Amino acid sequence: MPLPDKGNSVLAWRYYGVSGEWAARLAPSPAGNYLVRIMKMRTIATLSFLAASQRVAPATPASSPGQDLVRATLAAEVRSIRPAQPFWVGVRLQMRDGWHVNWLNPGDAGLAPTVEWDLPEGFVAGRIQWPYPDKFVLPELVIFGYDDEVLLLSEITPPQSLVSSTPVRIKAHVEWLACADVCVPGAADVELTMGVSTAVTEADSTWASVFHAARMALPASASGWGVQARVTHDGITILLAPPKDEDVELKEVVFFPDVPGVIENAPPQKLEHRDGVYHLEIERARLGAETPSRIQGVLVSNRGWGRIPRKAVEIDIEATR
Amino acid sequence: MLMSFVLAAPGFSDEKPKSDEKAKVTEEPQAQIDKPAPSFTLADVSGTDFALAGLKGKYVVLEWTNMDCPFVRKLYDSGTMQDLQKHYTKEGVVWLRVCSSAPGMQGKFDAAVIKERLAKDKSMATAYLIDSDGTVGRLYGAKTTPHMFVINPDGVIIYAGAIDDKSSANKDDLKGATNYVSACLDAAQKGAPVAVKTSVPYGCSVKYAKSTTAASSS
Repeated sequence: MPLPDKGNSVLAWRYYGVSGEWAARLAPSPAGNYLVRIMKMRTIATLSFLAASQRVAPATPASSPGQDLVRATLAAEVRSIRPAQPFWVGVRLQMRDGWHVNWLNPGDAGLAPTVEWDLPEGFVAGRIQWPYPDKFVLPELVIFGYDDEVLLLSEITPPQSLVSSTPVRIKAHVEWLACADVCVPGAADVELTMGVSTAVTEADSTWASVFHAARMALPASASGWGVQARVTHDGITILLAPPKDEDVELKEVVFFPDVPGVIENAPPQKLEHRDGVYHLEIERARLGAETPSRIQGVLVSNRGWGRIPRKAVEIDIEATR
Repeated sequence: MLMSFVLAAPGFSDEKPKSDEKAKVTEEPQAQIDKPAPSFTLADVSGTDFALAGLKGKYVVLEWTNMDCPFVRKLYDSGTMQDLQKHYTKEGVVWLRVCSSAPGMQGKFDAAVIKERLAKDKSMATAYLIDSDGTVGRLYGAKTTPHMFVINPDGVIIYAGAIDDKSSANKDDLKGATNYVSACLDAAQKGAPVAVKTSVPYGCSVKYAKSTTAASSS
């Protein structure tokens, strides 16, 4: 995928410790002027790095060897920003083959990645928007997470008082747990420098497909669907009534709760169709979780949801006995 | 709110929920809060058998462990787990580490290596029990390392779950964390009610054998 030269906007990354194939591609990051070249990489879709006179001194050597398992970068949808005009950024995690990181609810084991923003004065970052997860089935356990790559989105709002002469640095400290057969914690500092413009913000097409894929994987609102939840001593049933004017069929649906401790993650969830309503039967968590009063989480349908152009919908409904 | 929803969506029938008819997994975990702890006998690293039934009359702590798991390392490199073990075994609590790592999986070591590692960590547990086929892990529904269970002198489970309230692999997070095991033991020993009887365990997955029939992904 050929990519244009990037002009003013710049992507830079460094991480604690350097190892493996990514060491060769570690980019120097000067404080002053930048040149950006973008190259295709063998195993990753794109790589951007800076060419400049001096090398960034790596931060303190890695205390954990997780850095060659997950590559973290910060991507933005725009090249420049305007006062009070929100824009989207994403923390992109790219996992080495065979490794995964967790979703917001990690499932039976693991830890969700965390993002700590370091923003200039007056900037506000919105909550992380999580694309829907995959299930990783282990013996006796199920993990919720992502392999290959994931983009964790956040909407950033600059202050009205933004001055146009100085570029702004958006920074984040990212931590994760990368797992395959074993788990390795990792961390990275990522950053992005953006110009400030009084003109219309230019889109940055570099990351367009990455942002698009992430947006398509965000849970949508279940508009038009009737959603109900019933809770018994050992089970939760989610009832799904399709919109009346739609001829839509569900074949496989999985419920991912927002938090652990609500359901048993390993047993299969059974979907049945009775009298026009789908019933999804889920086992409640065995060890003493209190009866939930609300059922909150994400429903993923392999065939989608009819007119809703997404695979996942979010639900937040009262649980009835 | 429910009534108006039902009127708006006449497709929902009033039938009895199907949960009674659901298929059960063949080996379902038996551990339940406020119920008798499932019996087991496991050999420790020296080959000595430990039978839970023989420990009635004492508090017993079960600590699912894997000495190479970063969450376990956090607790041992900081000395936190050893301090707990030392403190409570002095009070007569029997502290049993259980390793359900299958052969070839992380955490499974030869007896000689285990003894070396225990000495290196200065582990103060009463015993390190070996559950290579994962029978006891599955019996208790052990999911993570660490995963903690506290059993009272009557043989009843009075706590099951995480070691503390801060799910993290970071040593710095130990400082402000509430340790659920010590809170449970301290309360129970005084005859006071245990405030937190269950919590969501966090850690690495217990490394059960891959050949076991796993639940299919739905």
